[in-house]
Amino acid sequence: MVDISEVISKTAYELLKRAATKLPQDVKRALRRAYENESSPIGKAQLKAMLDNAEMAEKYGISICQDTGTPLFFVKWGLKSGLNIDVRRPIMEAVKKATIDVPLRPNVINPLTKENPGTNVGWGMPYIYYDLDPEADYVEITAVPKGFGSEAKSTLVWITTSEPIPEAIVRCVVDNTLTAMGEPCPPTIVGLGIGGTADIALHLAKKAIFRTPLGSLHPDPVVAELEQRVLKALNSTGLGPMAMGGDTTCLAVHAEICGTHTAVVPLGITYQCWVARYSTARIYPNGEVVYITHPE
Amino acid sequence: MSQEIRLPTYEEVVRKLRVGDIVYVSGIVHTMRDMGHRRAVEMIKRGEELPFNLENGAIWHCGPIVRGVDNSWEVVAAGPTSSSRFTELGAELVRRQRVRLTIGKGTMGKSMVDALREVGGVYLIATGGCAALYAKQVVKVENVYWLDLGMPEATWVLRVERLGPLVVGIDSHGNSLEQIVLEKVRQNVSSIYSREKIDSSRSYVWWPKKIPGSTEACKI
Repeated sequence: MVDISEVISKTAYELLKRAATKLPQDVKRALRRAYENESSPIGKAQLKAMLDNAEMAEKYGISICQDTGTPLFFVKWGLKSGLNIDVRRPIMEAVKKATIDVPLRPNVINPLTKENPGTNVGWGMPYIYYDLDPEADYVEITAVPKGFGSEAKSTLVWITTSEPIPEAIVRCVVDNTLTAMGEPCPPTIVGLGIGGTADIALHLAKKAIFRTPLGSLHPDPVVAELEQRVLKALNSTGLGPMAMGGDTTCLAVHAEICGTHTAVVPLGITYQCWVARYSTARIYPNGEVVYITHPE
Repeated sequence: MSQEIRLPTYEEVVRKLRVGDIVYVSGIVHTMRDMGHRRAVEMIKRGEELPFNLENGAIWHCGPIVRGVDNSWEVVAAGPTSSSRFTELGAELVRRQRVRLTIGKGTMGKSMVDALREVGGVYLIATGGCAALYAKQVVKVENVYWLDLGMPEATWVLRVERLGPLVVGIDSHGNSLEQIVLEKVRQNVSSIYSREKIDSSRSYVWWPKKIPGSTEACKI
């Protein structure tokens, strides 16, 4: 009999480790393309340091960035998997182990007292988002050690429906990106959540970041057109890598939408730094694990 | 052309640096983040002496990942954190301690530009996220202070060898790379707005009107 709890814990650990030390293939490709196309010498030098650093981290098995963030997990529960077990406890164990072994930086503090237990576990962290997939016969887990240089540049604004919405969105994303400058570590991935409520908009924006493959467009052509408009606008600013001037400010824009109130449209804007750390695996009821973003 | 700086360093050395120069730094640097800046400035204001010497030295906005090995420490990953959080407190330290190099990412505000010009110091930008690269340039952990603040917030005294590449982001003559980049960006943005049919004179956003907690919000 396979101990599925054990499999989940081992997989969650492995996902954190792979995410922290290795970029997904599509992100690496996008950075390399940005490097090849960069016309600004200072921007090109930044991209070169990024690529060299990623290679070095992968070679030595150490964290790409010292800010290994807060541990987030997106769990998609396949109802046909027949699995009926707690994932929270094994994931907490995985986070504690990864903090010591990878190692991850012990970032998690109590938000009021600032107490740092040194484990990255406490007061609801690691945070787990649950979702259902009625058709899947597996449980899919995505581990996201979320760095806060980019996270802390997220924002939520409310656009009135008397305004042209796509134009307002382009304006807001450009303005926010210019205010953030180099601190979210561009070139970034921008996630947009349009509609719903305050929390839905930001949650959709966060989830959108991890769409694979990187840069794939939304199936709704209206949303896809907006994604391309925002990407083009950001990459025409000239901000460039680390906002030191250059062609590539943004690697991809992923947007999601949700029906909303007739009065006002919430827009959630989130950023993922170039060190795009996420790793996904599927766990089958027989204990088999398939790694999606990091096959090795 | 890149330049080498050995710490401790002095006013006449840093005055020669200009925005955009590439720099490699060797010697002792002190890491400091939010809580460390606050503690250092409060101690100085109370007339107490800091347990470490920042005079003619370097502050690195960095919370490294450090591992205990036998009876010493090993830096596993170390890279810059966003510097704009330290504009006011960092400027205090430059003024009161004559910190010559401040290393981070992003940029720093006007108080820092003024302090660096008056005292003779520079702000150096490291490439964000490059923690493996920079960690390999840390040759020794000399000491650690204020570990009670947690691993990231503690002040780590690091001996570095050719820490870099670092780009001069603010020089000691009042120039900032951000302003140079923004000058170009401003022109680009106005053509983006007109291409996208965006009216920059109008507010598209209903809320927030003011950012809660900001100085602006106190002006009713």
